[in-house]
Amino acid sequence: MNSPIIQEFLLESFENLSSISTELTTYEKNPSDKELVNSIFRKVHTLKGSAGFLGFQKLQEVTHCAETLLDLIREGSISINSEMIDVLLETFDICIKLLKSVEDHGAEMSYDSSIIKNKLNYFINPSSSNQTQALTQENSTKIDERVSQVREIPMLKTERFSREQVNDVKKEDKFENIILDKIGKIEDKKISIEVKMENKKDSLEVAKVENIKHENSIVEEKTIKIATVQDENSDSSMNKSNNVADSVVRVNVQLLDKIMNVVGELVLNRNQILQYANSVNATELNRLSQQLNIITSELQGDIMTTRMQPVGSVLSKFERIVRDLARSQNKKIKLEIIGKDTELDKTLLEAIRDPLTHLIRNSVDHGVELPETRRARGKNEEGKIIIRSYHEGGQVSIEIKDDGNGIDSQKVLAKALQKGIVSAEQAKAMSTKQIQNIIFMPGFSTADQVTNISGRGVGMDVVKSNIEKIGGTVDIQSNLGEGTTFKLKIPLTLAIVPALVVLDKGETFAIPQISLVELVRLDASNEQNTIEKLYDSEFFRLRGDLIPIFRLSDTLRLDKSKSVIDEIDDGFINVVVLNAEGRIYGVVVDSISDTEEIVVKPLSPELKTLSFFAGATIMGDGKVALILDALGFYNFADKGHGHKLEKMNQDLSSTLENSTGDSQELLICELGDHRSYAIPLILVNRLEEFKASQIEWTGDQAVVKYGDYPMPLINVEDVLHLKGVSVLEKAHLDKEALIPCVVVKIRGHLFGFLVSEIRDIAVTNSEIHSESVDRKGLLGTIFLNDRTITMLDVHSILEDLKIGKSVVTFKTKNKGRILLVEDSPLFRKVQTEFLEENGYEVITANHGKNALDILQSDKKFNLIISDLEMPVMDGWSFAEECTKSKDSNLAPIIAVSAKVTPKDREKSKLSGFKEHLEKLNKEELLKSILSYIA
Amino acid sequence: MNEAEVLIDDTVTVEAISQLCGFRIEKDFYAISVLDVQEVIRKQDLTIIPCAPGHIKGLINLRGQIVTALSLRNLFGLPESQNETYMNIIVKSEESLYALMVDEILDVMDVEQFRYEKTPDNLDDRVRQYISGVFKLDGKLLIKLNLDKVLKQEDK
Repeated sequence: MNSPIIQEFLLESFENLSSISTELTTYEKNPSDKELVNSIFRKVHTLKGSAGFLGFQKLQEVTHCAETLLDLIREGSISINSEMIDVLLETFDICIKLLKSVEDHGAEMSYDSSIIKNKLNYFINPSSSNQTQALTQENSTKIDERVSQVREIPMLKTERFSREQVNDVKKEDKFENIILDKIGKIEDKKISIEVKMENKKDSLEVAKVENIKHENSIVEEKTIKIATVQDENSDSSMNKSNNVADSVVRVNVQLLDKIMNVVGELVLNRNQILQYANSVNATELNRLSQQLNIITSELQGDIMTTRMQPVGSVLSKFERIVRDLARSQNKKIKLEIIGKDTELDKTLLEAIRDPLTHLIRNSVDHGVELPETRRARGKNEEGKIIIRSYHEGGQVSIEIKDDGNGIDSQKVLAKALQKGIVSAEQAKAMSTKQIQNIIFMPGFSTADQVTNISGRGVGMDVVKSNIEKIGGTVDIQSNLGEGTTFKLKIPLTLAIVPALVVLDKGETFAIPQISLVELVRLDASNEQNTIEKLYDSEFFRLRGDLIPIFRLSDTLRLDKSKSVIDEIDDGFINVVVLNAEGRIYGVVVDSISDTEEIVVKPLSPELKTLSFFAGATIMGDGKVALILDALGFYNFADKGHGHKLEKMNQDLSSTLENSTGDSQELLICELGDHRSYAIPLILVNRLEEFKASQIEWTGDQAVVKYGDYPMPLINVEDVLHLKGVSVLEKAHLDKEALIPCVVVKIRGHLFGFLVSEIRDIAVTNSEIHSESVDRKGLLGTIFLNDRTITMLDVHSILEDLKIGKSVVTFKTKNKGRILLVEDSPLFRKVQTEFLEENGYEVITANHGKNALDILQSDKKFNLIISDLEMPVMDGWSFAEECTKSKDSNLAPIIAVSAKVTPKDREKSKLSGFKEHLEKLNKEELLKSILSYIA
Repeated sequence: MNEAEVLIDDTVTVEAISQLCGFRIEKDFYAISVLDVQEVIRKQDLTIIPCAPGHIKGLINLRGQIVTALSLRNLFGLPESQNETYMNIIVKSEESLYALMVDEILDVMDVEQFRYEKTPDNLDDRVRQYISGVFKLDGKLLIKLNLDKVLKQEDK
């Protein structure tokens, strides 16, 4: 491991190098800023000195070259240009690499520094810079490194030296030999050298060529002079930097964290003292505690400030990044940073570093167009990226705005559809903003050619999740062709958050305000505003939108006996509406207390699995309160309910619009054998709940008073001979129990089917498999949501009952004969019943062919009613067949289907149907029948 | 570390003398290294954690720090305490504080290595997994617990 000195050196050097980078790029834009280049120079000088001192030769050599160049620049001997900056930046990158290798391995990695030195020397003196370098090397080994100044070397150079000679030079290791060698060749070339010297505004007279022969000593003399002057310069610059260094203290972040913790505890203690002081009537105590309050608040603020760093420290780095990226892509981009002084907690700053980098890279890569494109679009060739940071509403906002391409929603949508990230239906419903936000979804990348720079679609979603992890939000604002703005909002700090305190069943909970949407207080007696119960789940209509509701005590399984009387808001229901990553839901609690700033304390590892808790805090009264996590709670409580609601809503609306002849709505319930059964919803009249004590008996038959009508109750389990205890029996045992009941209406009479639980409504197109039926009373099985559910044959169940029989047998009035062609057994039954109820005789056929067969032998029908979608032969074909036969005695044919479109009507008319009606519209059907069977 | 290294099996390897903090649960005596103990406090107000594993009884406020209270009774499969009072032994593990709820605190004792014995076979399996070692003291059986195992247990 590196010694403390080296650690210190590394720390300081990394810092220096990073600010050198920043300053260089700034300087490039402001070449007149002398102070800037001086500052850069000083840092490089320090670097060189320390490197030399610690024996890091390569580092020292490289920085030495750079320092020379910088010196020339700052003197004004050379004017800066982009290539120069490039090389300098490259130099410092190399320095960083060298430093890193020291950090990791304790020594500089092997590296041929001649390339970079050549590049630097090219600027220092554009000709024969190679020699300069070689000689420089020799100098530094021979003379004190502070002394070796490149500027003295030019006197030995001439333009005419060829590369080979230079190479030879390199191999020599005796300084004198080299010089003498050169001197010999130089004498012919005095003039050019003198010219060169003229260009260098040396304050010292460097030995003229003629004197070179005696040079060593003189050179040394001079160089010592140079050195002393240099020394003085550097000393003063060192002093300057020392002064700067004095006013700053380096503190370990861990220590700051610890201090924050302790201050947090102080805050809690102060809260407790305040609370106590308020309850006790002691003026002196009150006064003192108020003072304590003020002092503590100030301390709290100051400590939080220590951890606050200006965002500029992160943002400035982007100057370099943008510059490099832009140049590599041949784009012209100007970066403007506003609000560098905006402060943010150090941890948060670290956390946003990467996301910000990615967003900036994205702007350069995909945002700003090439200069030609920009010109063609009438924009300034130079693109602009503005990073703006400011405080707003208790948060820090950072905007990254570019005036480039903007987000092409069409392209985004197309890509998303192609990748299957969104479905076609979802796509139709999306607004432009929602489409733009697709770029944050995992697995997305519109780059036709994924570049190294912006990554492969893992970038944007990681950006979003990283920002959200620290409690922030990211938003897009984009106009195609004009540009894009990403806006990040970050909370000021993590540890102390404002929260809403609620009470439930004697327990206190805190809900962070960031998740809070609103508070609703419902009058329990007000029917309109109450919570609607949909079987397993509860919902509430919040200004038109249905949101799921969870009771805190139920979800967390709190001990309900612990309700504190004071806390219960009699007659009112308190709903806390929360937003968990876009999902809105409500939590019912006993009462709502106050909003407070709480210190978030993490839970121990074993408890971390309880995702619905974000931590714990200590309240003013010293009690511990758990902090709820909005998202964790939702996921825990929901267990599919929220989805159920969506699905149900979707299903209901889609059934209304899209129902085909084969889809049916089913009511799913559970019977005494704990199995699931389905009853066709169209038969269901109402859902009720009776107390077991309400059930009365007439003979063997159980009935219940329903309005003023004794409704017979069916013991389904008994009729079907199911296993398990029947619901009716259970009712015997527990008089207080509430029994759910499905009231069905058959032929105008109501019957109650007792069930142990009403589960759900399902809409399905699945077939009813009747092969699996093993007893009467069952229609078949249907496959629903990966489960097999048995469908009850309500009619046959009733047929078997004594009382049912009298009702079920139809009236014998015969108004006419109707041939009903329908493939669904259910609909067949229902339609038959309906028609028979109205006095018609009904003969049924399974499908078109079946019907034709019947018609062969039996033509005495007054009307034919036919479904359209049927196997073997569908309704249209059947009608066509009938028309073809041109039998004038044939009864008129009406088509019925679940949904009727004008197109369908056309088709039906063409096929030969007299009319095309809706299946479920009973009145219309009757009217129509009457018109044909007059 | 002057801790005695003990295996749960029969072989016992110990070094030096260790100081243990003893306590009683029901009729049995247990101990943990005194170096692990931060402090011992009386019964405290507990904030129950809904849906937490059975042995985690709640959270305590200890001068502004949140301490997780564990019931060793529950861990060892013993019935809940009939008593109202109990003591808390505060221990620290990886930045979290825990309170071990016990019936009574015994003295701090010095235990020499030769006192360690092999774990009796008739000890309940549930306790066995937490045992670091067993020894006799004044005719009583003292069970030394492996604190790490106790704190990191997975609830069955």
